[in-house]
Amino acid sequence: MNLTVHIEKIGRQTKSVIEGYGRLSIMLFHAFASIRKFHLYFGQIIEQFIYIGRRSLPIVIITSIFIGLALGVQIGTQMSPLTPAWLEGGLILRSILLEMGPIIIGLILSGRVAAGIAAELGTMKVTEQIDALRSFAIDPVEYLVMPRLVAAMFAVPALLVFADFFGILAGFVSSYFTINLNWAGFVKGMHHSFYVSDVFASLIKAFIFGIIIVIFGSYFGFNSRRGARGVGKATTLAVVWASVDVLMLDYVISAIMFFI
Amino acid sequence: MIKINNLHKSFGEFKVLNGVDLTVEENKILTIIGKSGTGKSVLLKNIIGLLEPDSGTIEIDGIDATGFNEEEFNKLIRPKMALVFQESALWDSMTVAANIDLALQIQKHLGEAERKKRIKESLESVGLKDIENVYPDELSGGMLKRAAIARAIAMRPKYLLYDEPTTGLDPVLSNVINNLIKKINVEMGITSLIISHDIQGVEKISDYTAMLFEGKIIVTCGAKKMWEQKNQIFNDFIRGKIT
Ligand SMILES: Nc1ncnc2c1ncn2[C@@H]1O[C@H](COP(=O)(O)OP(=O)(O)O)[C@@H](O)[C@H]1O
Ligand SMILES: [Mg+2]
Repeated sequence: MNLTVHIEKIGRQTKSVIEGYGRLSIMLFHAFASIRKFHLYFGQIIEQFIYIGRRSLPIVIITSIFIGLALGVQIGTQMSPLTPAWLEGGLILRSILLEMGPIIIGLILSGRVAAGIAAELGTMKVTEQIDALRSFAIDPVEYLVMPRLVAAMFAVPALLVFADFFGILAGFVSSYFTINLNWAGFVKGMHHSFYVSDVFASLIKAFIFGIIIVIFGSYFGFNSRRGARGVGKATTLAVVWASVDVLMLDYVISAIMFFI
Repeated sequence: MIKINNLHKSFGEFKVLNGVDLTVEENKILTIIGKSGTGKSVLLKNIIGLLEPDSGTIEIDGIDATGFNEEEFNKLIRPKMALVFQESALWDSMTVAANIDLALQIQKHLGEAERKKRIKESLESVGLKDIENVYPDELSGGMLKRAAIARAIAMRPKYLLYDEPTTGLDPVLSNVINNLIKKINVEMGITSLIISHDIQGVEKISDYTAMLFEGKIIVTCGAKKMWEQKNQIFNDFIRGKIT
């Protein structure tokens, strides 16, 4: 193969990715526009909130505990003997609040929720259940995507609160065993570098990641090809692209927060 | 009345419908026959707006639905029409009653009492009782078909499109479904467009038959006159010589 063939291939793939983002944006816009009819789908919204929130809670807590523990060790061992130990409280607080908490949530839920949505909607697509909705004049985006979207906009920030809480607590436990930092010192450190705006930044990230996870899961589910392999592929694509976009937007939001 | 004029539909290079002309008369049963993969399902999906034709027109009660967007289909066409999918396509995350309830609620905005009444009535008229709270994956093939029909007739459509309602059922069950389709047509006055391979069933319940072959309707005739046709392909097909 010569160079032009490769360049052509890259060009084609870039084009289809951009087109994909275009179609996904249209779906997102459509889902947002149908929020005005949320009262018709109250039951679905609650059901999805429970599905997304409660079912992901254990895994979110477990992973944030381990991340907190690891962070405590890392930061503890990297602090020089000259810096006061209590500073670690603040470092752990900010790392978890601003980066680790939202990223854990974003990635865990990409694997769990985006995949689940893609598999469920993909199965509905290939068994013509989505066409059946349309044939009865029920808008599939309004009925299937919007409730999940609204639920995630509340459930994901709620999960983040748990992730932050357990992550920070584990960070303390781990600092206690690594550099012998006591609770009073840890709190002093947290107090020293606590900004309310960090909490907002953290929640905004979770809110946006919730949207990403639902829209990628839905988009790939709706575009699933026939057969079990089609659904499997849709699920994989949803996880991969949701994860990539979570990390990309994590950076974008962090950068925006830094500049304002 | 549904009037289809010179309808064309391709998928990429692959031509499926190549100038279909067809008229579905009010209060009648018209059955379309034809080999597998000739585009019978594609034709039904064009009529109800799940697929968009490349060219040609589809008129429903004098309304030209060609080029309608999703919203226009939802407002003007789908309220008077329902499709019974080949694989039933019941929503499997909810019970049979909830399946019937959903469209009544979202499309027709009916109150709870009226919805309950319609669920009960429609299940009774397809001969299913006490399965309101059963999930689709617990139903047998024949029951699934009937539940799908119940979901459709609960909407009180003017037109019902059935995609292979008897395929995959044993002769006894096929007979039950055929009688049910006839009953729905006669008692409720629902105009029916059926796709079928079941020639005996076609003869028994339809008013008219049309055959789709290579993208066109090659024969349309009264169901009782099927055996007098001159067209060789049609003759071979109804006698089971080509499948
Ligand atoms: N959405 C689609 N995309 C691409 N090809 C399709 C699609 N739907 C149907 N086809 C093709 O069109 C042809 C006719 O299909 P169909 O109408 O399902 O046949 P049948 O007469 O058995 O119902 C088949 O070859 C099928 O593969
Ligand atoms: Mg078919």
